[in-house]
Amino acid sequence: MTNWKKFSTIAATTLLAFLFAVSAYAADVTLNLVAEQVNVTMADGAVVPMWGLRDAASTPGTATVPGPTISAVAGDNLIINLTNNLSEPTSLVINGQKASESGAMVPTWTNNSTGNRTNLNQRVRSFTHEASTGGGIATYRWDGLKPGTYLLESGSHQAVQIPMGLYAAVKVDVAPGAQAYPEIAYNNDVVLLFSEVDPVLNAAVASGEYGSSPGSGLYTTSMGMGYLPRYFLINGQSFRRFSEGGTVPLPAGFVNGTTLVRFLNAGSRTRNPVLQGPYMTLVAEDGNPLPYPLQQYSVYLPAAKTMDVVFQPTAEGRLPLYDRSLGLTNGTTSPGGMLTYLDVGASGGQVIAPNGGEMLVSGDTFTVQWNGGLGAVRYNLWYSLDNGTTWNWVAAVGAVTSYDWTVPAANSTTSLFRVVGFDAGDVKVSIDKSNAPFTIAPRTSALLVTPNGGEELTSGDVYTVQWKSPTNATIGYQNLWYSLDNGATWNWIHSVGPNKRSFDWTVPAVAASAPTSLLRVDVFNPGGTQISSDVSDGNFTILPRANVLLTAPNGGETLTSGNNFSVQWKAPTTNPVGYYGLWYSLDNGTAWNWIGTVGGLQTSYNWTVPAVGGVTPTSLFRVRTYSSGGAILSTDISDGSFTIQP
Amino acid sequence: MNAFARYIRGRVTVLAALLLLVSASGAWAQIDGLTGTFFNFTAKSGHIITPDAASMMIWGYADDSTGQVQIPGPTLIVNQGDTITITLNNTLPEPVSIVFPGQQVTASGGAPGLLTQQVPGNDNGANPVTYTFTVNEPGTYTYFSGSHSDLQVEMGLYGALIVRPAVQDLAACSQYTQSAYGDCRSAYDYEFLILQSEMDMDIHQQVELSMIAHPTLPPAIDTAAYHPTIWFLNGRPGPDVLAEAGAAWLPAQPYNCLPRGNPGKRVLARMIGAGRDSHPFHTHGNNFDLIARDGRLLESAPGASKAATEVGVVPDLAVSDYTQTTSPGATFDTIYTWTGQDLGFDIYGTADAHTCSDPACPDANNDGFNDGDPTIACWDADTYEYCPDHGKPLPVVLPDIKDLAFGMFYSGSAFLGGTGVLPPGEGGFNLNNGYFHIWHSHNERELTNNDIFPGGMMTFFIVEPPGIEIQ
Repeated sequence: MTNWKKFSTIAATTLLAFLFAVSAYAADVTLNLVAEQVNVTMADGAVVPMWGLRDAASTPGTATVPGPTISAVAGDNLIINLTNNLSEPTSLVINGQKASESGAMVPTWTNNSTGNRTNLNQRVRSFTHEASTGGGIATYRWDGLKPGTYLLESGSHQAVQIPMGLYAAVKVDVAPGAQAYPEIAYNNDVVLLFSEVDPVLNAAVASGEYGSSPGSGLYTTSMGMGYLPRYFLINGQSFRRFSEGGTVPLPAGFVNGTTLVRFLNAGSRTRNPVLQGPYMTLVAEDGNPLPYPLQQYSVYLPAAKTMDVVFQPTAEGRLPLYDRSLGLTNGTTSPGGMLTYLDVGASGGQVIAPNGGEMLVSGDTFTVQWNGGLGAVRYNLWYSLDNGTTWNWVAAVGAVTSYDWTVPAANSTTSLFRVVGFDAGDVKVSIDKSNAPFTIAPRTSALLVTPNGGEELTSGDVYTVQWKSPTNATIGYQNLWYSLDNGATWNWIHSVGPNKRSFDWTVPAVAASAPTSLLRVDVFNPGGTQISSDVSDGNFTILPRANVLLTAPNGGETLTSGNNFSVQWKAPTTNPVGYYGLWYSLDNGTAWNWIGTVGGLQTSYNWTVPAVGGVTPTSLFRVRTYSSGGAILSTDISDGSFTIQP
Repeated sequence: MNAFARYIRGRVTVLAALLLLVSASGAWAQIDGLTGTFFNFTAKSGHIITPDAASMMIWGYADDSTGQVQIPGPTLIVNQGDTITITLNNTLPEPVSIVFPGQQVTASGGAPGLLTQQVPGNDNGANPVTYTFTVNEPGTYTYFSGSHSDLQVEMGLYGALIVRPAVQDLAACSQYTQSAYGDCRSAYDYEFLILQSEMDMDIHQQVELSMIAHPTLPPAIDTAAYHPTIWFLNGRPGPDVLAEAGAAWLPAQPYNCLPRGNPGKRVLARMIGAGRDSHPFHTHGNNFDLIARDGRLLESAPGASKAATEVGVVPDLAVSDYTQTTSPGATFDTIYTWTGQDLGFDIYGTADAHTCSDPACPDANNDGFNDGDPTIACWDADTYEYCPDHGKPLPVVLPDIKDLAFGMFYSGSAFLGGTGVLPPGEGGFNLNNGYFHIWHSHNERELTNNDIFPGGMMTFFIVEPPGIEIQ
């Protein structure tokens, strides 16, 4: 009578798969996100201010609502460094995952204090510690992620910040792209994050004029009587007709595959999505697997709810999915709102992103995604700038479903991406391209990626500076500078050629910690006119080196008697070095043989390797720094033994 | 309650006369609807009368055999395995369609819409759409317009679809002849439809004004600003739900909603969320068992069962509750049984010599429990009296009637089937001297008709004395 038999078959095979695919090590998944205000154009043309999230490495002003979907493996530790460019303090929480950084989930009160409530005038402003306004950074951490589908949201002033748009989907798989929970396997998944927008609320919040005493500084909320959402979004999009360049169907797997649909509701009102055609099998709620699967054609989705359902499509085609609570308008016009289509292919391998309508910037990294093709073990990736007339090679990849694409320098509103899947016998099993064109826009300004704020660099280390350069002009050369005094004065680093996007910088010596350091890249055209410039968004710190650090020989090398070997070390910077003393040992440090001294400004020594009786694998080197008065300052020995051979 | 009683009496003076017809006509039959496999609908506009005497324009599906528009649309009662064909015509000023959640539908004719094929506006028979599907699974389903749904569902374009099981495997519960899903776990004595919806009078007035001014133009209505003011069960607000089905003075609202049952009988209440809001539907008198959702039994494995809250068995994942939140577009099948267990008094009174016995439950010591296992209570085989309470008097002494106020449904006696002295003009609305338990949306503001209480989404479950024929 029900599809129960099919479900039990899935469960049996997935148990088998799980036993052979256990992930042994939990990884740290670190994301650097920025919260910022952006203007979002609604489907009826209205522009609404919203608060969104973006990767810190992407261009300012490109935050999205919802924020980027976060993917991880069960057991991973998720770390988010949040930079707050909003006008009020903010924070992040994930309903259903346990926050584990120190200070996690200790409320911040409206009087800026944290900890226990000490007087009744205090109201909760944030459920956890905050990232302050004006670029404040806070780190949030969830160790040992549980599998499932979860909602990331602001943990601050939620009545305002969540309607403004601070939410994103978090998906944690037992086996990425294959197993959502220990007994739920899938071939392809679709995230459907429902949310809504009341433009009057957003305009009031963006202007700061809201609540019962606007401008008074009293802590007020805009979610009073009269909350009236007018835009109804799935994954940040309202429905618009295809003929108006609107909603692109979502790739949703292939015939007889298992498609997992992850429903989330970040809005304030209950939604009731209906899938037209197949029944859905409900398998989990709020990240908790249901003890028994339930068959329904509709899903009950109150605010903050997540539901995981699976279904097995039986035919190619487009399945409508819509909100039966009838959030189906754009402003005052119809049709619109929470209507989309799940696109079922014959064999999968459908492009998920970029799939139409996206705005990509030259030089950025865009994560291309597609769903698995039936039997595909490798994929060839291509892009087109002319709506598919000609295709340019990107890469060949294996049995994966995503690729971090460095967006080429281009200026095209008719870009497409293409994924071609091949099986183990080199037979083409799938081919799909973006459902609609996306845009590649040139980069018009330089963007320093790292060091960009918050990093700690150590004197003498080599740090790879990275930046993105404009693509809408011919570059002649690019100059790099650093500052220790927050930009008051700048020190020369190097000049690099037009095609360079990174430079291995030997971090200068500082005697004491320099926490107000900045890096600057200036880009010039061949005629010497500056095109663009960018400076670190925030200060980074250059740390002094307290102790000498021997880098060669440091273990594992094989040296030959009579040959010259260049001993290398990094100089300490906290105190002036008078001179260095050098020794070697042939017996793992029991006895040390004197070599000699070198001057305090040296960082290397041309050592004639001594004669040895036989192959000596227990050799060590030692370097020691002395003040000019002969006091020992620091010592370092090879981390591991090296070999001297006759 | 006096004001309430007077208001209700004023509204339904016809009701008493009609109640006398209960055994004569089929007007109280449980689920009215159309049977067969071929149906012809036309979407058209019409008017309904609200209990506060307002006239409201509605849009609904009319069965072409009568041409009368109705809300909800005709309830289709079909059999598992049938192939159903529905042809839709349209006289409304905008395109209309039908979607059938949970069914695999082939649609032909008309023009492509966003969800399915739709009949163009002002079509008047030129481009009908035919919807065809095979109902493979029994259960309770719904249908509604898939075109401009935010306006058309509001206007009344929805209805119920009931699929009867092809095979009734009731050998293990031979006192039943019907079940919703084919076995004892969904067996029932009586069935009722409880289709819940709501309307915003402002929107209906705007539509009507638009159709007067521009009869062939689609109305431009801001539906996001909806605020319902009238709530319905089976297309009628309270207290019109209590009037007979097919009442001549409610031509566009042919169905009533008056669930009734005898003690110990299993009543199947098929709840449907037909509007756009959820409703917490609350059954006084007892818990029900929720046995199915969206036309699928709540079972962990085919055939898995457990004891029902009161009588018989239900699927093993059934939920016992007294409030069911009905979601828009979804269906909920519930089994409700009323008994007198634990009331603490003999519901048939102590004035006569009635007995409480069941040949299958030996009770030589007359304590009301099975002599073989004293944890099992005996129930009278005919009246379903709870034998442990047999002969116990009402635990209170009722005040003199001069000191009492009366609800219109009070028979004059606290005992099921009993009557008693009432002051002149009181009572008279409890024809069979049953117990009335209000069933209602527990979102209390939904118990109004345009801000007038009582009204809205309310009805009564009447516990009728044994021997009173329900259907």
